[in-house]
Amino acid sequence: MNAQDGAAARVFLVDDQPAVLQALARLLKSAGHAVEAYGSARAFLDSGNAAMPGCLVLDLSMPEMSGLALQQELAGRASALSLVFLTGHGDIDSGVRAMKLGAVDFLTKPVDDQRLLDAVEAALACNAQRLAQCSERDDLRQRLASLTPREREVMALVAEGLLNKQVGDALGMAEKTVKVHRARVMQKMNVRSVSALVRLVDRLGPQEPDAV
Amino acid sequence: MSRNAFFQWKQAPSVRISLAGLVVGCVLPLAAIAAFLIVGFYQREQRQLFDQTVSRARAIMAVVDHNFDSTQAALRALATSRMLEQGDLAGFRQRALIVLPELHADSILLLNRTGEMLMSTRVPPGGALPRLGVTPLLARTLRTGEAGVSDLFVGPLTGAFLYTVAVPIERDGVIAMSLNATALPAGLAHVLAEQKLPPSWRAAIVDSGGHLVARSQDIDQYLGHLTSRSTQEKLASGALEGSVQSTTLDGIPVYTFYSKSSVSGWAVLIGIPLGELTAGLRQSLTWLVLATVAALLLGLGYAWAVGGAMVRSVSALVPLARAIGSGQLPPLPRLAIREANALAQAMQEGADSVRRARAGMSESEQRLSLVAEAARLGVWTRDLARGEVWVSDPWRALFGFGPGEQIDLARLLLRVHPDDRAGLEKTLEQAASGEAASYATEYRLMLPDGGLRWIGSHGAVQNDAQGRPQLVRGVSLDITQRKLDERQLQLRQEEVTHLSRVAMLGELSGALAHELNQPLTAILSNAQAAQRFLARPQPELEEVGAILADIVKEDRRAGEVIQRLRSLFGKKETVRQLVDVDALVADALAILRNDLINDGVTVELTPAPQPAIVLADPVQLQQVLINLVLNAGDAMAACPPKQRVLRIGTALDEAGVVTVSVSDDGTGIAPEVLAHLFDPFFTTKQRGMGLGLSICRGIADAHEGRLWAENRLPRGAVFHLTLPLAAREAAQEAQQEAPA
Repeated sequence: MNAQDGAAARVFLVDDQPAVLQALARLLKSAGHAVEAYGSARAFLDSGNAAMPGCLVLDLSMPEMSGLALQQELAGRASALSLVFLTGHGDIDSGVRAMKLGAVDFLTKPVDDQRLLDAVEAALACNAQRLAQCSERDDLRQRLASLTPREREVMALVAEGLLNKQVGDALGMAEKTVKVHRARVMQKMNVRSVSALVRLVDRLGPQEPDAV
Repeated sequence: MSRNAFFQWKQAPSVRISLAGLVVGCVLPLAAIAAFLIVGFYQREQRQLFDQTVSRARAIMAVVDHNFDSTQAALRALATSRMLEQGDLAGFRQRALIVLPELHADSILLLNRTGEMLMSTRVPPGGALPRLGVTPLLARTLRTGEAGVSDLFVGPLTGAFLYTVAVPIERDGVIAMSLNATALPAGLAHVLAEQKLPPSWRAAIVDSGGHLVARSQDIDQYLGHLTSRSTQEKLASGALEGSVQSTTLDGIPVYTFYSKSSVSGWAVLIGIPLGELTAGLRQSLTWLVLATVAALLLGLGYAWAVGGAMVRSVSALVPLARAIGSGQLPPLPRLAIREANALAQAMQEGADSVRRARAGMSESEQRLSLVAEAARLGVWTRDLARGEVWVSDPWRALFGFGPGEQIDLARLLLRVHPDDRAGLEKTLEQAASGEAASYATEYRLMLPDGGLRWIGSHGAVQNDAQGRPQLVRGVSLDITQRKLDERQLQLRQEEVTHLSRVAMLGELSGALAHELNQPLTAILSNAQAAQRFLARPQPELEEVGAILADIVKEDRRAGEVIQRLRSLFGKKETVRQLVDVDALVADALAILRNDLINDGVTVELTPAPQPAIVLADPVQLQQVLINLVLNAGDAMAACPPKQRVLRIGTALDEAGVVTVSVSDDGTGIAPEVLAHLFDPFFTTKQRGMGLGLSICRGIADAHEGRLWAENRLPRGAVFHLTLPLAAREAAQEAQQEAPA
């Protein structure tokens, strides 16, 4: 886990049925989870916990904002929360859609405690992993942000496997100047070899350089 | 006709008596008036005659008095003779003899105060003169000193009846002598004769003593006789004029009129025979009586004849009327009276139409009895005044009474099923009291053989002339088979309604599962949480207690859900009860909650301002509401999620009608669909049977409500369900019973 997310992971529970909400909260608490319960999707969004570490256990069918709508909303906000869906009846279509959108699990009510706890565990692990990935990416982004535009151009071409001379020709600069830029890039990006640099750029994704 | 009226009819006067009364009534008053006029006329005439006759007597009396006056004047003139003054009686006698013829006297005498005769024309001088003594006339002359007339007396010299006129002769202021002239009564006869009185009348001159001096007839016979006693009395009464009824000396009853001289005391009498006085009156009255009697006889005779004609005509009509009454049509008799002929004609025409009507009636009666027999109708009549009941034979068979068995209301009511008895009794009472002019009722009979029979009965009330109920008559028929069929049909309908409900609920299975799932989920999770709490080294018993309480609560909730579903799925007959429409709406929405959420439908509820309580079968109403809500949800399936708004409003109006409106924002209903929306087996859904709305409308109708649909602007459709509001008292009761 990253030091940036100092808060402990919590389980967020959303269900429009108060009795169910309380029972599930009790079950999760009994398993040692920290639980926050909400009567509606809107109440959860308003709490501002969407960006917090943890997982979200939510009912699929709720009035006003359904589970799927909340999932979409969270995706829009680039929340890292992992989702576990609960549904009253086996609605396969909704389950498939939820899973496609990245839900960790899709459980039917009434739900066995072990299945729920396993799912929650998995969701929390997933969340932790996602958060870790995110923090690494943030690190990279910071490094990337410290590059000058010229250095970034040089880095891109180097990562594609071009020689210094070729880079100089492509960018219209002397080979010596390319060398200087390249050394500064390697230093700023904290890599010792070209192959490591290539892996880094790969991890940022193809669109990343444009997005920055 | 009552006994009393019959006697009154017998006592009424006959037409002949009435006509006779009319004739008598007309003639007698006229005769009485005529008699009154006649008597009045005669009385006037008689008064006139009386006056005239008295005047006549007065005139005669005046002539007599004049006669005396002239004699006295002559005697006074003679008394002034110088010879008498000188005492030359012989010369005086000579002088008197000369005057005598002018005086119409018999003789002239001179008397001294003692009545000694000093001179008489009858006795020559020197002859012996009779001594007369003091006569009443002399005494009167000496006393009054005035001239006078004597009554009739017999002359001493002649021995004949005479009267004397005397005048006094004064010497030195003293009456010394009386110079008298004696006259014969015959000298006055001419006075009466000159009057030319009717020969039947009697006239007489009497002296102051009532002796006859002159008389119109037979004076020789009656000279000197006293007149009748009644006349004497009348004359003595002092009145100078008057009349008296008397009888003449010759025996004729007369009415006597008299006039008496105040000077001489003599009187003139005129007697008119009574017969002559009243003869005219009697004759007139006789004629009148004869005329009256004749008029009466003629009138009565005519009345008798006319009355006879009328009696004959009417009597001839009586057998005619009787014959018509008994249904015959006899020939018309010839009648004496035109009106009676017209009446007979009218009776015959009436009889003809009555006979035709009777023929028609018997035809329709036959038809009716045929119909009654064919339909096994029991016909009955109830006489309210006599409290009697008449029933037809089919009626007896229908009600299980034997042919001779007596039937009254109590016996009938005993046959009626105890549950229906009070209701029937009330219906019959209302008819008997005139509250209802007709009625139709259905009730059950407990037959003597133990069987049960349904009877349908229709009654109509007939009022008497005063508008009071007099008769109730009607028909009863066996409707047992119809009732069984109805029951069968009802059962089938219930079956169909139930099946449609089950089918409808099948569509809701997801919702229902969810509904049950919620409490089950809560229970399971709670229980497992409790297990985990208990498994801890230090079990959190407080938490476990709260969990167990929640488990119990959720279990109950699950039970309620099952109960609700069971009533919807159940087949048992439900009873109509007072239900709050908004509570039913809330129930329906609870059942459909999950479906609505899944379909993304938002519900907007507008409950009634006051509780809308109706008398209804809650399960069936629930079925209608669920149907409408499901349809509305289906109608909006294709709409964008934000547009899926379902509105349910409940409203109350002044007329006591509850309207539940379920509206959607869907695509609305196509006109060709709208027309058949409620037809059975009409559906636009692929899976539907097309019974839902048809059954819903049937349920609304059974609740005396309506169910219809219309399109909304700008989009969507609305279904209205109206139901009659339960009576206010009942609704209040319901609220008090269920304040929660």
